[in-house]
Amino acid sequence: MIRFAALLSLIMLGVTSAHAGMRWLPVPHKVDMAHMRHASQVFRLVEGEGARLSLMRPDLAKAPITADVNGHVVIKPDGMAYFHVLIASRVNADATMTAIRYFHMFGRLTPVSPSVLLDRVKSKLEIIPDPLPREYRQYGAAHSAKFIVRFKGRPLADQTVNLTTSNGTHLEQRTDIDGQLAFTLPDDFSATHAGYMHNRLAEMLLDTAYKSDDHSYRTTLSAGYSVNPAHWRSLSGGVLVAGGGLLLGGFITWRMKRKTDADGKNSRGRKQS
Amino acid sequence: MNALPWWKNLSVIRKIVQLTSFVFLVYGSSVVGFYATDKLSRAFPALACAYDTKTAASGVLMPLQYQMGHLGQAIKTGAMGVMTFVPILTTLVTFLLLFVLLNKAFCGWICPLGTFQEVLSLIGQKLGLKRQESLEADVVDRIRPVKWLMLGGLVLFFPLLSGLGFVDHSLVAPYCRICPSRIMTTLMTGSVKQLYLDTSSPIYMTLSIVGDGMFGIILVLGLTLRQPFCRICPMLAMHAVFKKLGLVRLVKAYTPRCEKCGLCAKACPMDIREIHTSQEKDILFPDCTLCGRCVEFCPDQGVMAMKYAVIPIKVSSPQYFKHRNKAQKAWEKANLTGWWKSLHVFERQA
Repeated sequence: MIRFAALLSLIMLGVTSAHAGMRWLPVPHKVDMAHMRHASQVFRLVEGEGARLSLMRPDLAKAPITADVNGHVVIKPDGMAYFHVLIASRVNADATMTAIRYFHMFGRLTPVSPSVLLDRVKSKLEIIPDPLPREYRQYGAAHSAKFIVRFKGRPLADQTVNLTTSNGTHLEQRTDIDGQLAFTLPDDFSATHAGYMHNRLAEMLLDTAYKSDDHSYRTTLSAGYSVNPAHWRSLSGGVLVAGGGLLLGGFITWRMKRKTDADGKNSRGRKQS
Repeated sequence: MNALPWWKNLSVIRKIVQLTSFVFLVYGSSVVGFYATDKLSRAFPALACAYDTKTAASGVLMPLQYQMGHLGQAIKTGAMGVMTFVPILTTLVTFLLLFVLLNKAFCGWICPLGTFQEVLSLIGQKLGLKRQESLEADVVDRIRPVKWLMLGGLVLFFPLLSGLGFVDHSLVAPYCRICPSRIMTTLMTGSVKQLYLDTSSPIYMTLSIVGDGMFGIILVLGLTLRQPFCRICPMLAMHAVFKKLGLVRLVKAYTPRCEKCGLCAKACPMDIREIHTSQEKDILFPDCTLCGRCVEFCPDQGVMAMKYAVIPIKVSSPQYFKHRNKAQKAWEKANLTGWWKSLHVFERQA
């Protein structure tokens, strides 16, 4: 049921945001926990006809990749840990379209910091996560996510960025003078289940367009985001339990003090006698 | 008698190191880079927490639990191979490379939760609350095995059973669910995300009640009792397993005067009474956090020493003891109750 819902939401992102342009989407496939570290990752490029595909590895090496007959791009473990970047690029006479997706793999660490990887120019117009969630983490509903929009490596001020989710939300923000913007990711999961394990990630797509010297540029950045745990985690409940702990701690302290005082009186009594 | 300059006071130096480490481990990603913790130190030998998004390093216990879970699953599915053990070995080797440098001093000098508890104790002392100087021997003896149960049960056994499928998957990282450092460090960064009652399953609810409740208990106990959580911390047990490998040592040259004295045991925040009765040279006991207070409060020349390999860092001496004792009394005298009393005396005289 959950797999079906996840598939449906991915299809929804493919159908409802047809205006969003070329974009990377994950292809769900089952991987058990024991083989997670050595599993391949599979993606597909939507509306990517004629695009050149490449993969930037954590050590900044960039190499062309190809899709299989199903249009799937299978990324096998390359032994390098941390963030890899999928880049799709299609250049016409008057327009350039790019789609970017960051994903994480297991392996050996490289000496190159992910900050350097993020900073590396991947396309002329680019949306960069600021920062990208660390390993074992992901974007989450109801939480703020920051991005920077750059054009030819320089921050782009007052630029409109659209955010579309597979759950049907559309948001719009403009970058500030430093090219930065922040979205509070929508808490838009229609059916949530208690526990992260029982909720699949939804997809979000950021997209922006810019025109320079009669040439149009458009870029998308896609990523997964998780359900808001506030649906099954209660802050007030946590505060209440911690308050109970405070009371219990106070009681233990009082008991210890009473015993210490009684022992002190007894020992003084023994000394006097 | 001249006052002890701060740079010669081991406790003051330790406090400076503790506060610096606290800032580094709780907020340090802004200095060393947002991703540094993932690249350098996910096996740190202290309770620095990976849930703290600003940490510059995170502790060894979290990866160890998940890796035990993965090991269990590999055994269950029959997918055992050399690669099954590589993550666990990598974690342990990274832990050991760091641990060798400071040994158990990671507890007494570096751990952010240890520092937090010392700050609580300081607050309690400055408020004039009467401190529980030491716990009774039988209470200490009953508490001591708990740290081994925490390490063996919550960090190793339950995650392994979870991977094997014998217990629910919710128990793949049970220690992190109850760890007070998770709540403390995230609260310190202004996030309340980790102070929650989890209703997603009975196991998660139980673990969150234990975690939140224990955090509340520590907040109060820490005001009057020294290092309440350290006594049951699984990291203390893990350090104890590898303590022979560490370069920092605590040594003693026993004299018959030791039997009558016992000041070292009184000074010990972990109530290790064996320090004063032991006739062994090596007095780095499993519960020791290498804070060095026993060396500071030993009044005899050269009886106790903290060494880095063979180099003495601090050696007990009567001169230092006198100065240190005087400084300690002056420090303890300065509290709200004392200030209130002196104000009343002043008013009466006026």
